[in-house]
Amino acid sequence: MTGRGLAIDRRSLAGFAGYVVVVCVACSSSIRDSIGQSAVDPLPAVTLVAPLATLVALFSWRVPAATPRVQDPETDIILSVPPLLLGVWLVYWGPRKLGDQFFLFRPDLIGLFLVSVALASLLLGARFAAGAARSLAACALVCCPVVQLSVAGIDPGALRVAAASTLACLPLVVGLGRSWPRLAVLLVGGVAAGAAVGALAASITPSPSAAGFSAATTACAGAFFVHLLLVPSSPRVLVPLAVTRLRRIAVVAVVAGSVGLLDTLVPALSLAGPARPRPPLSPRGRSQLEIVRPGVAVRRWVVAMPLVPSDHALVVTTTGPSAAASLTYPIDSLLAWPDPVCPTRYVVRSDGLDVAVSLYTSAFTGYRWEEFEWGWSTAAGYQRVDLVVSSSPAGNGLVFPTLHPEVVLDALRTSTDFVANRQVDCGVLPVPPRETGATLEAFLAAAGTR
Amino acid sequence: MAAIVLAGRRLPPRAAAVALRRQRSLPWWPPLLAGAYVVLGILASSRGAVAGDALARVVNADLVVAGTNPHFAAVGFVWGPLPSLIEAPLLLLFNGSVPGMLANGYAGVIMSSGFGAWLVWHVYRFVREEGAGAGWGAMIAAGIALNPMIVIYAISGMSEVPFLCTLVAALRHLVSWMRRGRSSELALAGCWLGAGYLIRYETLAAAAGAMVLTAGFSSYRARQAGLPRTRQAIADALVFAIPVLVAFVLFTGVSWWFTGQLFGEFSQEYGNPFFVRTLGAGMLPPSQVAGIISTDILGLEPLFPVVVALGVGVALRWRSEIFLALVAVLGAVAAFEVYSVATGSILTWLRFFISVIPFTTLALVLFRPWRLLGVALAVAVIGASFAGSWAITGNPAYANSELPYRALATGTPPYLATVNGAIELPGARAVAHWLDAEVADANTVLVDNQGNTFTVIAESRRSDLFVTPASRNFESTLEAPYQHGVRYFVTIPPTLGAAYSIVNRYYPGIWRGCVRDTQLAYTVGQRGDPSYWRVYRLTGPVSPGNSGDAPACRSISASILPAS
Amino acid sequence: MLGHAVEDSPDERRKRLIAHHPQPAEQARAEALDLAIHGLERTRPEMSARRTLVGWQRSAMAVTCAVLALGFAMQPVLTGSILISLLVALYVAAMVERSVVFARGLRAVEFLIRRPLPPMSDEELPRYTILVPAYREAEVVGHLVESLGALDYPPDKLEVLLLVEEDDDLTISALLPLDLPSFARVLLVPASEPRTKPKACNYGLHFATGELVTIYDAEDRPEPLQLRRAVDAFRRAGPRTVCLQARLQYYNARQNMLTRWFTVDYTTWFAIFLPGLASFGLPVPLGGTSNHIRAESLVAVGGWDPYNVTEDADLGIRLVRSGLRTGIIDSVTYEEANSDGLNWVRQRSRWYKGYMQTWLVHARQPVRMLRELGPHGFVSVTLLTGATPLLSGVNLLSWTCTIIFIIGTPSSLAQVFPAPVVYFGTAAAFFGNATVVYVSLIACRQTHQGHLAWAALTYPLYWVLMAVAAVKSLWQLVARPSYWEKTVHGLARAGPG
Repeated sequence: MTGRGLAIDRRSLAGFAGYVVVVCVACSSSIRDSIGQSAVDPLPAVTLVAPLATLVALFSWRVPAATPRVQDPETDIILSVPPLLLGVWLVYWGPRKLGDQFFLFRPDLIGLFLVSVALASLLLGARFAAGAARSLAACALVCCPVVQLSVAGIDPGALRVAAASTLACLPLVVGLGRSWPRLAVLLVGGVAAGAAVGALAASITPSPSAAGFSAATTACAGAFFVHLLLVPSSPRVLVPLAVTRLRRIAVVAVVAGSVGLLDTLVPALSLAGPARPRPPLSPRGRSQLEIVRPGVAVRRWVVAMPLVPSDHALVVTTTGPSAAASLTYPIDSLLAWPDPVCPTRYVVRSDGLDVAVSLYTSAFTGYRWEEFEWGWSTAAGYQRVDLVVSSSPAGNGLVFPTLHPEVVLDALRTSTDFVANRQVDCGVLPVPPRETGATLEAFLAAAGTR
Repeated sequence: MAAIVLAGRRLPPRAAAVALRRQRSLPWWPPLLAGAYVVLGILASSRGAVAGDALARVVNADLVVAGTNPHFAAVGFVWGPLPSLIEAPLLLLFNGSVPGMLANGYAGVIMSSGFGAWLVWHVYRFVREEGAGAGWGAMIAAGIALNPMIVIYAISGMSEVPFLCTLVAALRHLVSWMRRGRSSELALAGCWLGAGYLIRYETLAAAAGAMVLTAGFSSYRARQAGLPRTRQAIADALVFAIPVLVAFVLFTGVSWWFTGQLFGEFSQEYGNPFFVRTLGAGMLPPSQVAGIISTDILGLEPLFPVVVALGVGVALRWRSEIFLALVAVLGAVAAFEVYSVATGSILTWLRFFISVIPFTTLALVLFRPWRLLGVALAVAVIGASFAGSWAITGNPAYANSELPYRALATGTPPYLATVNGAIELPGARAVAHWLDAEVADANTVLVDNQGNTFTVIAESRRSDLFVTPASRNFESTLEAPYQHGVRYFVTIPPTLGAAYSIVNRYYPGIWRGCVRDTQLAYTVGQRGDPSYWRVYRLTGPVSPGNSGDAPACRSISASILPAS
Repeated sequence: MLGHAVEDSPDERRKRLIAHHPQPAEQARAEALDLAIHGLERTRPEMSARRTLVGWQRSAMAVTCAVLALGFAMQPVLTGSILISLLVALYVAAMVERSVVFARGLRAVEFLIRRPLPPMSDEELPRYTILVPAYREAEVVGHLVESLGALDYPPDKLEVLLLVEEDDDLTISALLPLDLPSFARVLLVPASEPRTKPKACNYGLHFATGELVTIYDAEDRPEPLQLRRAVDAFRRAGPRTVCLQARLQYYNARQNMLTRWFTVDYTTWFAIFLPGLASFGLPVPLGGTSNHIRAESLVAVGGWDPYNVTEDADLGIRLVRSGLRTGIIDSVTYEEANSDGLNWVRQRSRWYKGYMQTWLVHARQPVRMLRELGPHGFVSVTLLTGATPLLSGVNLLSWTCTIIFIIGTPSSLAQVFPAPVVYFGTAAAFFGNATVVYVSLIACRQTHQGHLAWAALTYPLYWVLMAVAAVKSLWQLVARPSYWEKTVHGLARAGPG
């Protein structure tokens, strides 16, 4: 940083600009946060923070001083082939081998990491790939649900947040290696900036949960930007600003804050359900899908009940000892709809529950699905429920969304969904149709939970 | 050697010659001793003194090479695989020509006799390498070779003597390393213990003790030489430990892969806990256990405490490495056995304490500087050991596996009826011959090779008849035997005291005839029960656990002949 | 001390160097160059690596490729299984051979004690020529002076020839300000292809006046008494021993993990392996430097092969094939280990390429080779030099088998890797890696380098690098066999990266 201007690394600038663009595009449609993000539980944000941390680490990587300037295209190619093959194989083979457990281990993330290492080697050289490999591996590891679930069990909320943040910053820690002073400054500066913004956002937005989500995001964005200013690289772009020390901080705060504010434009639902614990929903007989980990169980089954217009409904539940545990792994958001659909969303209040309802209509086949999502505390712990009621045109057979992993598509599609934990909507209805409430109440009555 | 030209280094000629000649020449007596053991063993087993574990190992070896599904994993993962893997080629080559190879367990006899002679040779070389003369060497070696307990186990086909062989070999190399500091000796010691792990798992105790000794000794020596202590100690410990670790990982990994169980020796079904549960019914009170342990040890080596006390004194006074090494290797094993027996995880069988015999006998080398007094002491200890072993192996209260052999030596018929005592072969032989004659198709007789029913496989001449746990798809065959072509079950009474066969566990009541669609085809008596062995023919599909559905659970008396 | 102006041109710098170090006459230079490049080719064309493959080898290669292609087209599973099994069997054979040689070497080394050097007066000592080829070595040339000064040998009996390529401006500029000792002079090698170290050494050999010749690299630090030890050993060894290899070691072992691995590698090879080979009487593949040779024998066997990128290995085998012997001396030369991964891969791939070249050259007349080396020698040369790069690659294959074994494959892929082959590969991987780790650990312990134990334990990761180098070398063997990939030196001084 010279007195004459603000020296910014070109690559970092490009990366940050890209991030802002992505956030803006995502915000341009109405974003709906997944149900029940608690103000003090940024756990679902682990999968968003980790890629950001990885980006920071990648952009921070510099060739060590004593390295000879050798380029070796042959080695680049040789080093890129095995990870590429292995990655492609994992993406292809993972779903077949693991079946339902695929969603727990997400080998496609590891496959993507390998493919990205291979591409890095091919395009940017083996040296960069070797330097980047650690951060990418840490990112893949941290994004695996099974790793995140390990943190979900920690009980005091503050400790859980601390653990989740540490986990999310693993790519940064691993990638920056031994430059501890710089790393410490980055993290502390970033977290401080982000926390400040988050607090500001919390005080001005109606939903506390959104602010919690932002805190983690802005922590990383803040770190990213702080890094821009601190990295001792040769100045590539000289932005002719006369910047004093005070204004530097202001720049940081403004940029990080704007990102945080964008994030806070997220309507969300509150966690709180009625105080009385209900009996948990669980299948009679065998469920169609079961993923059971210590502390969290996900089940999917089809239940028969006299509902109009259909007489069967699909139920997916995630049960865990605490809200964080069962919300960490939003497998419900991974339902694969048979046709391309775009939901219309609204919120219903029924029996003290805030229920998010999404209406899916398929233009091609005429199928219609209503998805009810809520969370409540039960005797078995916190349970998040996803109820899908299907109706078919002209009495055709019922079709439900599936939870089977799809080769390759899942890796690409759901990782972005999963990472951002967002779905793009087609509209928000202020006033829900009247029969929705009736469907829900009939179900709750039939399930004996009133 | 002559091709090396090393400036600045001179090769002491005698050392070179000695080094190269060290392992090359084999004296005349080890093969002779092995032959003597083999002859004794064949005599014993042909007269009915066959150890159960030994024959079971031979059967496992047979399943590796013969039968309908020969593959390495058939060697089983409950015991160390090495004895069976050594017996397997013997069976492959000679089973056709010498039927007793399998039926009487001669392959096992040959295996353990070879190891027995090797053990004595290692003992002899150990003593000679201490600088003793041929007289001392012969005395100590004879003290091992002629010890009744060692002789019994060298001729029986069990794994104790091979185990001792690896221990003494490792001991030899360990002491050589302590004396001369050559890493190759340490590596060889580690390799021997690695092989020992593949024979018996107690080697791990010896390995742990030796590793502690290695680290400590190396650290001590490094300090004297002014080198960094910790690093050298770690490096030496690793040099020693890696072969053992490799053997451990290999066996554990392979067993996990094939059976899904990491440690079959400790499994609930066939391993130690099973035996303890079925036979050790009720823990003995500690005082009684202590009494048994001390009687066993003192019975085998009456002057054991004297030798230990004197040995400690000598070691402290003259800083002898031998005693340290003995304690670290053999002493650790003995201590481990005592601990296991005391805590009840294994039973109080005499043979678990066999390691005190080489421990005491080898410790006598410490007393060589005492000249005549040392000789007298050695003779006394060895003589007492012979007498004590002879006495205790004839005592039914303490020795059960050894009694049959002792009984033969004194001319009385072999003792019957206990687990791991001699197994009675006539009944199994009769069943096997009947099956050989009656049954035409392969893979039609379901039998367990781990319970007492394995003897049928041993006695039969047609290994292809049997479906055993080593066969392909055994689990699915067990669930639906008729559909897989099985037509006969071989069963024994499901009583405590006889190890359960898998047939009895999956089809409870089969021996009593309570399973529907089965028919008694053949029966023969054993162990005082006139209808001990029963072969049931399947007339229709059966499935596990449906014994309660039989129309009537008929009781079978000896007068009912098999239905045709 | 010659100063130099920044604005000098390369030509002027060269002229200034020539002024200080006069070069031989033009005709002598041309003659020397011609001999250097074509000497071996003319006297022993069958031993020159000018062409990698000769007639029958080419046809054999073509036939093998055709058979493989046909096999894969018609019976892919069977062909694949057989091929993989053969490769794994070769790997197992090489492991066994290495273990045998290692055990022998360990025993040999353990039984020896050091004896002091007998006093030798200066008149008794023969004239010694040291060849120091330097190519683009700006950083290390300065330290060369120190190392040369430290040698304990009478200066009037010593001759150091610095071999510098004529157009190597970098080295010339670095040399200009240096004050070389009186016995050292610079020889400018005329610029010509192939641009290799052995060609430069051949050129230098032509002008060498010493009875004994050795090569050092610019960054080497030999033990001061090394030359005397060599003389003493030659005296005691007899006329048939014409070459002595000293032990190479690294002085920057603790710099990073790669240098540790590299040191473990060298320790195992030079401290235990080569004595093992020597004690069996097998051909000793020489190291790149510190091989002390009788000059007349060297000339008699044809000098170094300028087309071979590992001319030292080639020379070692050629010496044995001519009935001469190589020994080992117990003296250490310290070198700089490559501390950068990419640089290391390039260096190692050059070595592997050279090994394969060497083997292909010597196996041109297999019967004659068998006769001259003996069966054990033939096997050892094949497994230890020719097959080494192949086996590094096969190690990767056996790891793949292990991964497949553990993770499982779709049934269609299981056709290509049938179960027995996978088991074989996995077992070979397990035992092969365990053996190498163990052997390296013992070697470290034997040479009192216990601090390298961790590097020995993580050795299989080093093998990944070796496998990458092996693939690169295979490619280069086909594409550009005599291309000498220059290793960058001078990284040790920069400190841990």
